[in-house]
Amino acid sequence: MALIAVGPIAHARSFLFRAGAFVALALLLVVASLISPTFATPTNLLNVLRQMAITGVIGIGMTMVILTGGIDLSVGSIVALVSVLVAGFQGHGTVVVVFLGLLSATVVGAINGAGVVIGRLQPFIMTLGMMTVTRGLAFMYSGGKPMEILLPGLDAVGSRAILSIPIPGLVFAVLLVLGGWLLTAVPFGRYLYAIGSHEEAARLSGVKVGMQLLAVYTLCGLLSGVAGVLFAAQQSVGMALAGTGYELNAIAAVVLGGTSLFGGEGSVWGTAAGAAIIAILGNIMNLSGINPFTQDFLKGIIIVFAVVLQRSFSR
Amino acid sequence: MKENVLASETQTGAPAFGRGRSWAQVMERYGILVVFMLLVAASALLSPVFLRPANILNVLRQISITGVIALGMTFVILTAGIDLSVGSVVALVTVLAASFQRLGLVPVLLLGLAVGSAMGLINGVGIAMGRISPLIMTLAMMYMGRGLAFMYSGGLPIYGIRPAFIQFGNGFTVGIPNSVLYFVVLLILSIAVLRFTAFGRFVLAVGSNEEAARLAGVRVSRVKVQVYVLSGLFSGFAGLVYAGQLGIGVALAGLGYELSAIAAVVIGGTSLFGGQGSVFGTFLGAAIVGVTNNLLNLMGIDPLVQDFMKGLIILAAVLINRRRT
Repeated sequence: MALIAVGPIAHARSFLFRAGAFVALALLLVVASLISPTFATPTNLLNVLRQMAITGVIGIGMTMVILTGGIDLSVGSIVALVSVLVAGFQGHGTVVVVFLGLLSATVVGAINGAGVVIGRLQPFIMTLGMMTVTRGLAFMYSGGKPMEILLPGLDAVGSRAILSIPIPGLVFAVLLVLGGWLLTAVPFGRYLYAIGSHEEAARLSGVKVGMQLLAVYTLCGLLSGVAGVLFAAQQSVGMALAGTGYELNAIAAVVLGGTSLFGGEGSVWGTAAGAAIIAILGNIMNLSGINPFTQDFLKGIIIVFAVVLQRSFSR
Repeated sequence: MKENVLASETQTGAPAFGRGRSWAQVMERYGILVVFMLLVAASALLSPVFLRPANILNVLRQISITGVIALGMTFVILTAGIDLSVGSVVALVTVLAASFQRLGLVPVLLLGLAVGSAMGLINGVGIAMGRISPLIMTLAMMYMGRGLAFMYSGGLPIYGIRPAFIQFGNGFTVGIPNSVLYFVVLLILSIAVLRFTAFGRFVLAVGSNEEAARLAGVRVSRVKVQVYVLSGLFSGFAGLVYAGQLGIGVALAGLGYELSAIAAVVIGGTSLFGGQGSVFGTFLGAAIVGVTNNLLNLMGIDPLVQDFMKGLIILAAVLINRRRT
């Protein structure tokens, strides 16, 4: 019964939805600190933050798209395209390549939006097509070979810290706050919920649905571009295989965070909690020296457990 | 033919607009078929080899494994669900099939089908009884299945698949590859099940309006469990065929099959929101992807450029076929 009206009940409900993911995260933090004495050290926690930055940044854009009842499968390919473009144009300096990377990502996002709005294609199929096309472009441009990146400025973004917080984590935190603000305090954000709750009702209430959808896919492309720059900065390599499977990670973070795949309900804060849950799982299993083969298996079980836990707190 | 057009025009109550109108109606009903025919015609013009029986069988063989998976996926998606675990089912089944060869052909087949169904059953129970979102439940199963395959195989390929099993997956019967025969038989069975059985109607009902289906007496939970078991069963079968074709069992088998299968279903016109779609559409969706791959190969297009072209062709196909609303 997700209605557009943000009455006290709807508010309480969406709070509970969020709370579920946070309760799961809190429990996981406690368990993780009990399992490994290294886990709760500042160095390790900052490490987790660095690891979740990319999924988190993509997750912010993905949350907004999913709130409208859509989906974006092209995000991982955008990371790949941006990484090879950054590598290929590195002769022009950090500022220029970052701008170029973000621009190309925005264009891919805008094409997604145009396909959904003007072409009236299902978001799943439009972005699946662009996923193939964009990774294809990355392959064509790079010739299928990894390209080394030697840019001191960009390298600093990937490895330095400000106030001892790694820059990728900081970028994620700033974008998260901006995203939260955009969704709750700006008409654009409210329109996204309205479209996801009931597109026709939103249209009849005067929301320019097409414009908002175009904007949200463009924004998701831009944020994936930021993730691509972070990838290039952290890995110092551009390659057409970068970002494979990132779409599923981001979608998992969004859904773990309590956002409904049918749109209209959810928040970027939940997504941040979801991304943290996934990153901590990987971290704690590494710290405990669990065989990588066993990690996938355990990750699956724990995700189900986290969702069940989240459900029992949100009903 | 003419009466048909007139009849449908009277039905919609619209005045006769001649060709444009009937073309729109034809496209709405048979759009994906028209797209498929156009693609086949273009391929035949672009490559003289394309229409040779050997090449057509080749295309069919290439789509048969993801095609079988896509048939099961169609039922799942028709209930507004999704199954991301199919590729992991394939991986686990190839590994188990390779390591239990000593049991003989039939027991290994039964083992593979049982493992696939069991994974589907767990998915279905988690979704129907545990009320976990299908995407999350099957994503978790995707990790678990592949994790088990890696744990069991230690990450190494398992050799020793016997000739009888290779014959099962890679052999020919009356000149037709076995995998194509399996695909065609399962395709016809699936069409019949969706069209003519109560279960098929229930699947559509659950996907159209779950609450209405429940109130009409459909046992929604049971139908949901059934579609995931079916998807697991088909994926298990696909894994067995794949093991016979590869000749080894390997935990990396079936990577990305979930997206190929879902793409076939969606290109075939089935709505991801459930309730609308057809099994034959899925076949056409799989065939469109297969023909596109084949055409790009026959034309000698650089593999680096193929992904790009493939994406464009798929987008063009769905753009031509999009539903007019």
